[in-house]
Amino acid sequence: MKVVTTADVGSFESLYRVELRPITALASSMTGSRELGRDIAHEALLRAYRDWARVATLDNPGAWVRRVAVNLAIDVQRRRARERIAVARAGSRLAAAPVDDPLADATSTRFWALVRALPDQQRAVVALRYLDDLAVQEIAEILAIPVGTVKSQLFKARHALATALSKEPA
Amino acid sequence: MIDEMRFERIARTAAAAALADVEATIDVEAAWHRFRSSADAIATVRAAARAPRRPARTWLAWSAAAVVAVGAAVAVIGSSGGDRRLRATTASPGTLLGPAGSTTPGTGLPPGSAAKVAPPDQPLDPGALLDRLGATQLVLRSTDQVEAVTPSSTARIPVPGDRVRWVGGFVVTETVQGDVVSSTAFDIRGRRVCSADGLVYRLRVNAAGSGLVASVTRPWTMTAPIGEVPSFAVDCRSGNSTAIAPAQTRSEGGSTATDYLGNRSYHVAFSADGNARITDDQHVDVLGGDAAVTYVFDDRGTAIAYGVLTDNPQVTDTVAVRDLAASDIPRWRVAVGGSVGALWWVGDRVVVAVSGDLTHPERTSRLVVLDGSTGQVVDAVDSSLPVVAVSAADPSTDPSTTPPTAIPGAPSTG
Repeated sequence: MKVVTTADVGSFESLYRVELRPITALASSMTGSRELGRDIAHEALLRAYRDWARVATLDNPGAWVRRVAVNLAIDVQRRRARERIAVARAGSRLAAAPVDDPLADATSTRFWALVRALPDQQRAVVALRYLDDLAVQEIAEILAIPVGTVKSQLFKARHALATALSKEPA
Repeated sequence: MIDEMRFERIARTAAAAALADVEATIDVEAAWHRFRSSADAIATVRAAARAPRRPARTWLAWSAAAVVAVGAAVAVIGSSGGDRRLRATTASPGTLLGPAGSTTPGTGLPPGSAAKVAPPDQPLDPGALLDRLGATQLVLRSTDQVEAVTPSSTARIPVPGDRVRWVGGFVVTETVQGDVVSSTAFDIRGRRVCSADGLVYRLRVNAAGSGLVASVTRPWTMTAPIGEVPSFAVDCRSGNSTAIAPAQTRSEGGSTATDYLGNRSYHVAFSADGNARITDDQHVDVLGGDAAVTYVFDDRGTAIAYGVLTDNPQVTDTVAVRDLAASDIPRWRVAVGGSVGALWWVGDRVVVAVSGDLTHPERTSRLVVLDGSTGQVVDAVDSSLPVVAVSAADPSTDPSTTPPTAIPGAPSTG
């Protein structure tokens, strides 16, 4: 294992301080849970720390951490969906238990709830677009998908969200 | 449905609220100290796990520490990290790092069209499609290979990576290893003609006419920096590379690139949404004020066909053609009956890959052939074949005998 030197820690600390909040916001919004968002951000940054000898050589380590966080958030969402199905099959009402939402504003809360209902890739694209204000090409590079796919996923997501937002909340 | 501006306001407000929430609830200083403690504990445990076997009593202590440290630090496990989604991309010849196309619902073919639509129950094979389009080269994508078809040959090229592009008559596959892209170019007969680190945006014959030179941007990593992206001319035979004038600049709001067409150059500014505005070397807007969702120059360098950006930033159902020398007024502008996925010039005609599926532009459902001069529909072929490229260039022409085209700023490497 690579020994993390004092200099390494110094440069990693800078990344940590800059990226902790935006990555937590990204993960919290994607999962709907402030606690999960923190855990995911922590894990993503921990992976960067453990592999800092390599990650530090990247042009944009923050983007690397974002990709890890997005993948973790998608994975967690999938696992939770499977758990909800399993619980529902077991006849428990816990399946409908809401998660803690990090947002107070009703419209914003609803917006992110709708985002979380989108397919994995669309959810990630919307979160990166609006939370990190990233261009389509940057999103494509972080998610390792073609620009055209980002555009189509963003279009589809916007269309679905706009349609849902136009309706009165249930 | 709420309009785009209102949607943007809602989305931005929601993003600001999410960011404000973490701003208010996360103490970065305290988090950093907790992080260092847990990270160091994990590092210690992992180092111990790799150490020579210890007496049982010591192992118990290490195991206890591991449970505490891992339990405290790793709340989320099982990432699918590194998940590379394998997708075909449809790049246009002559474009430089340009975006792929996108989709929108169509409004029907232009009035008076004489479209001949192949019955859906008679799917065309690649050879028949080549013939139907009046093309001489057709590149199709399947799961792990591309099929390069000419009237006299079919080559199957393995695609080890996740991306395929058509660069000036060559099939270029891109492989991502770690965070670095490497490219391999094949000719239409499937012969490997070049390998280079970076992203190939142009291939040409060297000044001596003895081999190929690839223009690449490098490093082309997952997280390329903001600013000029260095370009290199790579001699395909020796692998030697020489720095040339940067062809792309990345910025926070998008990127800019330069397309070279013969002895002319075109400056392309991509917005954050990936749409292009293009000016020539005399600073003339060759799109006459339009923005292009996707675009392609013709082989002679006299005209440009493009998907016209309309109300939606991502999709269009409208194609236009303008003369590069007199671009104020378009030659024509037509709706193609579906979302524009990609465009190619085939001689004097424009072939448009059209998707009827709003959400999957890569799922071409029809190829519409338009007269490049008038915009009249010459043909329309129902086809779900995933087309990477179609061309009317003479496939019998050996690329190594093609007269070289000068690239401003590119030194001779032959």
